[in-house]
Amino acid sequence: MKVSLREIHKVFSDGTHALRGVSLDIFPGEVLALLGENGAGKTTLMKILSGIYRPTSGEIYVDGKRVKPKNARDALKLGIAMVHQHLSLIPGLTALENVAVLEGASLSQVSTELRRRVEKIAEELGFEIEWDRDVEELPLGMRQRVEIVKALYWGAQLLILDEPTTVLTPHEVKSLFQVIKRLKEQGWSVVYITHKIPEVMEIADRVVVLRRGLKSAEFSPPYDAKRLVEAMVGEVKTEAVEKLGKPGERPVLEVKDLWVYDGDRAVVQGVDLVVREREILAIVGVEGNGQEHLVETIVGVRKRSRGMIKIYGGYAYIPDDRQKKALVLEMSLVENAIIGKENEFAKRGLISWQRAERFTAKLIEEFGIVAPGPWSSVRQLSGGNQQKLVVGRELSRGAKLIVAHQPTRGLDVATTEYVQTLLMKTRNAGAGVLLVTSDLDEAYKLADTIAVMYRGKIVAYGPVEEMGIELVGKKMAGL
Amino acid sequence: MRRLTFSLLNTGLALFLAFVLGAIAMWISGYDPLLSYKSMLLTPLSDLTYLFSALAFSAPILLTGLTFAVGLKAGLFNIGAEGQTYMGALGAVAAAYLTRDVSALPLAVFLGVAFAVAWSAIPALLKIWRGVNEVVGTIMMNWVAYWLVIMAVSTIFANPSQPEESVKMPEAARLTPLVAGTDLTLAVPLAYLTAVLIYVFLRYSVWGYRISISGQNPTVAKAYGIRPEQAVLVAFGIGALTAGLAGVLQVAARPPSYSLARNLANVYGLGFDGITAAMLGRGHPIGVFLASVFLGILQEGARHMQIEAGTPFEFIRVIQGLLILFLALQMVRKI
Amino acid sequence: MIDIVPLLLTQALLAAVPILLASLGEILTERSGVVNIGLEGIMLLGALMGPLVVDYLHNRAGLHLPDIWWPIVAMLAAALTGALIGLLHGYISAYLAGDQIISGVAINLFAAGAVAYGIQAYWGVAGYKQVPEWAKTDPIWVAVFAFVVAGVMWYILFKSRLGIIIRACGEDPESAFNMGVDVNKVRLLTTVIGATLAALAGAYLSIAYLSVVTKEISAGRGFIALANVVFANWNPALAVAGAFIFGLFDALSYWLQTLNLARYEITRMIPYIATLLIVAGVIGRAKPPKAVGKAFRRE
Repeated sequence: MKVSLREIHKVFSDGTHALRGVSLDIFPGEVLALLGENGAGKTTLMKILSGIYRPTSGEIYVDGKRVKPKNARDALKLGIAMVHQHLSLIPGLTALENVAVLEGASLSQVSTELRRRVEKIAEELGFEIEWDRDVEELPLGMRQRVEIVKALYWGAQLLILDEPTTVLTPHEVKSLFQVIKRLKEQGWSVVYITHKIPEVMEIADRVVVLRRGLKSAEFSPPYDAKRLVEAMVGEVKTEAVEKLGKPGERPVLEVKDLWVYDGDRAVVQGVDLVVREREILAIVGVEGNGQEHLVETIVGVRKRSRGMIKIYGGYAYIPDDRQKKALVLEMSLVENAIIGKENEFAKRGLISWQRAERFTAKLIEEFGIVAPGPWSSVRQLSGGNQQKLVVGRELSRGAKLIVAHQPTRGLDVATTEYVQTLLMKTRNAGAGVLLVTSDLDEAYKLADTIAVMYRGKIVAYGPVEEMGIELVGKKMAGL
Repeated sequence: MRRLTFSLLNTGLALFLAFVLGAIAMWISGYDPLLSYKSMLLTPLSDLTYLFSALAFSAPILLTGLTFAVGLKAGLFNIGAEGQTYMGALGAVAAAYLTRDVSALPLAVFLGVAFAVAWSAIPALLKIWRGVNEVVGTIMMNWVAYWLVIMAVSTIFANPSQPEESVKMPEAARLTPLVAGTDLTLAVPLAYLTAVLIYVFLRYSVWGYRISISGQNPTVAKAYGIRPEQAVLVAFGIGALTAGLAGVLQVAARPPSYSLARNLANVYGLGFDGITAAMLGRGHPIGVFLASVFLGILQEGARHMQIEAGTPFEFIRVIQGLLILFLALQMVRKI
Repeated sequence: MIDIVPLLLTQALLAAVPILLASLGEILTERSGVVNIGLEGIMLLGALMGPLVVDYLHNRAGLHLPDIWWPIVAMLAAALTGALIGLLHGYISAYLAGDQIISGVAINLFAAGAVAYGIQAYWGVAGYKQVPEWAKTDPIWVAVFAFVVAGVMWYILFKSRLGIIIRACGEDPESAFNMGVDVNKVRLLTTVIGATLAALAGAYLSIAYLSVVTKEISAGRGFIALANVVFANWNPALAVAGAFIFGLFDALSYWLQTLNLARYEITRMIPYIATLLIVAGVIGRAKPPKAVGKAFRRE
């Protein structure tokens, strides 16, 4: 099956021009890597191919025939299936029911034939899957395998994998790569979306690089890692963020023997850590190893089961999801700018909105936020400007501890640089930063100290000089 | 400004449709829609006594409307104003029972508000501690209050000389009409002043701000030191203040009886009228004020409609229901 | 003392039927992602429209039917009323992505007014009308019907492929849509069925259980049914048990009244207090459908 995309444009309802005319061919039996950084348009492009988004303009051809998939099922009927980064199985249904959803409504039960064939496909791929459990209870790696089996059961010939390794342990990554190779040998095509160069070099037959909604380059093996990076990020003047001075002695955050439960699952298991003045402690690890629970317990959103948390001199908090955890989208910039410091703008319990507005205007100027005005709603801002508002608000608290959770996720290169510089400046000025990230480059660029989190535990901890990338990689994999 | 025009237009459209459908309903059941509407809407405006009576009706509706509106700000559907109004009235009756001089008035306010706040604390705490949905919680409390207050009024607080009523407010403690021969008492300006205070509270106070934040996004509130549970408590508490006050005023400032009817007729349904007022006024204190005046006119007009056109009094509740239905049609959730 | 037990259980069963019917409907509706807090109002409308329509056909239109048919006609009239309200609520909730709670509140307010008005306008009496003997039915038939519905509903939700699709709409409408499910159509359908059952519960009150139409005949049962949905953890089988427990408190209240063991008003409070306590007791482990109450719209 040959798939062609022609001049695909996508403009979202908020005005984001995500794709600006991308054309692409996918041939049978090849593994095509779509490389690009966050926001380059890779996922959007593939969501269009798999029927989830509709293109603003452009055409899709399957074996020369024009097609217009309306939803994922339509695409699947054409042989195209996508396994999403945030897996899209339906919670509350069992793994088997998730496959059976596509059978359509009927008063009869799920056929035994379906179960038999599904189990056979899983066996052939060497997958172990608990078919009768609620998918919510399955580990992420297993959910991904369920999605692959589901796609194959329903006749996919082109499999799109979106950042498939973010939810996997290194061991699981290896077996995923073997599966991809097997599929390829049997004639399936695979599109592999990623921003990780080493994965591309290992698995791809061909690489297409996207940047800012445009195809910026195409490569075939042998690959040159440096050229791949250049094509991906363009020419960025990486203004080195200068680290000034050594970490101090006085702690701004102490955590001792912290345990956090999610239901009856221990997701944080006896974590100890200290952040000192003028220190950036980076906690790295594959997403979903308890980092989110750790952070949210430190800032008081979640309850700890036991252990001690001590914060000296207040904290600022930059959460991983600005739209859900940091901003009230329906409210104005002014109202958002004073969250958590409303008392500073109040006299005898009444807020002076004039002073709040002046403060907001200052934030807008200082942090280069592009906004129609201080009283427009935050929903109208672009993602980068929303994040600048959050970072600006948080850094202006003058807190001694900054808790930054994936602070640059989804930002363009320039804004990423900007946020990282701000964090470093704050550190240089004497604050301590707890940086939780799954981006190792970011960790090495900023950190004084690196800790690796794996399955709720800190499995390695030391000054950045002693924490080589190989060691950290091994520890992240639980080895 | 554009948003204001837009919502005024929408409200007008909902009103229009409700009245048209209402007319059809009246016509089907054999009443004269034109005559009914004329006596319902115009008669109350034709005479100062009627108009003052309409304003007197608007006062408790405004107060219970504020209960629902403050709840909405905090992301709550607090439909407990009904029961809290009963409890407020019970407090006033208890005060009348305990003292027979002017001190019954402050005591009535104190007891009435205290009873109402205590009553609202139960569903509020059940929500915070046990996650009990506030709609179910407050409705159950309404029913318990209904039977509790009926029992109290027909036993200890019964009026020996008039079996259909509770003991009356002592004469010295009554808020009598400001204009002789009308129903317009201090209750009306008091209710309007309360609306202004609630407006200031929601717009300018730190707690009003916190309630809005946690109502819109409790996750954000929590992350930055605003405790959504406290916001729930404050919103429920303030709501109970106004609902309780409504109940107190229905006893202490409502000529001619200055008592609570044994079947609760003079407090029954006020909480639900308040919901209509709050939704019609789009949750904004000034809007709720305007809506309550409108509903007060309907209440007063319903009497005239029943006399002049023979259309049952209950018809105005059909209109209110239709109105809310049409408003609900427009409240399309932003995604 | 012992011989009171069978009586109490029968009473509990009869009191459980309306709560069971309404909660079964609401379970189906909520499983697909729509919450309908207008149950109370729909019950009221069903309780009115059943007797009103048969009265009209029998007394004013002069329709002749064997007596056995009248209760069935009453049930059908109530069901149709419920279906229409369900259509409205479902349309607002699904296709217009309106606020489901507000729509439900509106239904309750409208029904309270319409029923009070309807009784007055049709029969010319204030809020209370006896149902004639020929329009009544033995409550036990409705009870049997309710149990059958519980069984069917359980099979559909948890065993059939249709159930997979309904639950998918309530848990993750986005993914369901991508699997080719017409989410809003499913939601509209379940809302119509749910409201129909609530209206039947109301007709049961007036033509089978209480034999009167009053303007407060539902007396909070719609909200107790909502509480039972939570108690049952959105499972029709558990809803049977839950409805029976709520019914038991109703029966207890009735029993205390007949024995004069407590003041009438106190006995009337029992079901509501019991509801609060039961709901407060179970809620920790209740797991609602993830997308319940949330409108679905595609990018």
